[in-house]
Amino acid sequence: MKPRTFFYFLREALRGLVRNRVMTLTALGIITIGLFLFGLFFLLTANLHHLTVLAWDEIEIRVFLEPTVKNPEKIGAELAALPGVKSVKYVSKAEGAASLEKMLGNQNLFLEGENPLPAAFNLSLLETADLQSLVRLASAVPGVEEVVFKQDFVRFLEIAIRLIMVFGLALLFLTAFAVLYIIINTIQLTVYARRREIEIMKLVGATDSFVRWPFLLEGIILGLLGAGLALLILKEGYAFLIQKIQFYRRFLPLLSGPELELILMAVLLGMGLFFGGLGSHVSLKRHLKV
Amino acid sequence: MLIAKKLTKIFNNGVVALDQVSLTVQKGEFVFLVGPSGAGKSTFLNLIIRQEVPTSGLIAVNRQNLAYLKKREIAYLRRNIGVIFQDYKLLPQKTVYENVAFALEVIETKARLIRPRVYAVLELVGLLNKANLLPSELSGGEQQRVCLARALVNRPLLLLADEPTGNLDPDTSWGIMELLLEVNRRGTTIVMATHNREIVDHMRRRVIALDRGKLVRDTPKGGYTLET
Ligand SMILES: Nc1ncnc2c1ncn2[C@@H]1O[C@H](COP(=O)(O)OP(=O)(O)OP(=O)(O)O)[C@@H](O)[C@H]1O
Ligand SMILES: [Mg+2]
Repeated sequence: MKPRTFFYFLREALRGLVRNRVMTLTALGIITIGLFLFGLFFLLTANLHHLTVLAWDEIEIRVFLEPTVKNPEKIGAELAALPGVKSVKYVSKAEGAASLEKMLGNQNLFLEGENPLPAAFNLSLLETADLQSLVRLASAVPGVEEVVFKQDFVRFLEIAIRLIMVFGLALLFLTAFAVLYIIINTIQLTVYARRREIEIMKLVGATDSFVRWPFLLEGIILGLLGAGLALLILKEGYAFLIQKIQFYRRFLPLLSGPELELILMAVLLGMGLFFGGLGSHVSLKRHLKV
Repeated sequence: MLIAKKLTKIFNNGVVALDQVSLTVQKGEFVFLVGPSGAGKSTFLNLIIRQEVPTSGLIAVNRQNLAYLKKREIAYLRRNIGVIFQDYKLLPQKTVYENVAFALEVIETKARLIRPRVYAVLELVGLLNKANLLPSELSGGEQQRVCLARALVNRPLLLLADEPTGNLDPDTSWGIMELLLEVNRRGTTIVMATHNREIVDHMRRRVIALDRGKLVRDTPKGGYTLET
């Protein structure tokens, strides 16, 4: 495309947006709301997921060793090599007793030399760990007596993570489709308002792509503007929320930081651009059949 | 210039608008297309610019079989055909100048060529002094002439005029006819659909008559009806 032609398209697109001011603002409002909702669900899902991952990190699997074991390092290495294990920490007999005493608040729980606790390893898990098979494998390592973990809590977490992933993704997809749908419909209105112009263009010999470009640019501009506005609202709203619940931070550690902001920005702007363009494309299809 | 062979158009609702019409129009001819309302005149013109697609039969313009045209080629075909639409098809929010220039802009004419060409054609149709008015500020005949100017601005090989004198008083009608004759003299082939008996009888050009989709008469230097 020649630069002159591109500027013609851009000028026509801007003209179209300015000429149909009411339509433009309505479309922009609707796109902004749609993308805002999408961003909201995105943050919600991301945070729920984050919470469950944090909880998952808290899970500890304790692997007790047989009292006769002489070489715990070798067993530790074997455990660390199992799939799904993030790290391995050795807890000696004495340490185990100390932490138990501390927990129970009794300094002299055991008589000297009669510590019945075996030495153990604490395993922390990767997010992707398959607990069942990990427990099975760990139990099979020679020298391991017993593998202990909070079974109910782990079950609950496993289900929660899966549910959040499934529902979160489904919700995001649905919102994305809804946003695309309303974008198509709003752009269809602007296209409809200018169907005569399109018809005449085609009848005097304009090519389809010539007719399409200004609308495509219009859609893209609308989509990007809508995404920008939605981002602004989300960013300010989220910052406000985080500041409000600063106090509860320990219990409700929300995601934050430039990385999240960048991802959200990329996702929303990408959606605005893609949906705006696609919306125009779809809306125009029928009218180009002249 | 224009060839139709057993051209048939049946609309989705079952109306047979054209029924096995065969005819040839040579380059430089001036042809009247007559017939009662609903005879299929507009449909025939719409097939020529491929606004409609035939149900069966062949239509060729400038030795191009329209059935084999790709989308882009249809656009290029239309650049060689000027059309005066029965309903003008002017853009209400554009001025006279812009309406005519629009036809050149959208076929990507070089910018520096647009202005002189538009002014030249506006002068030809006698609308130079109304270039900056909106269509709503013009009379029917003036709007008709804007439509003619737009059809001519790209110097088409073929001009299709669908009732260009419909709704016009006799004087204005003759004004339009003189313009068409002048354009024809400069080499443009013209096919004009009309109900205007007086004009057809006076001009003594080739007359093709349609009735209920059938070609019923094709006379060189004919009149509006057989007797005249
Ligand atoms: N898009 C369409 N769908 C269905 N039927 C149509 C369509 N366009 C035209 N027709 C029918 O085809 C027939 C021919 O119509 P056409 O417009 O070609 O007539 P015409 O000769 O131009 O009439 P007029 O002199 O009134 O302009 C009519 O019966 C009309 O109802
Ligand atoms: Mg007609």
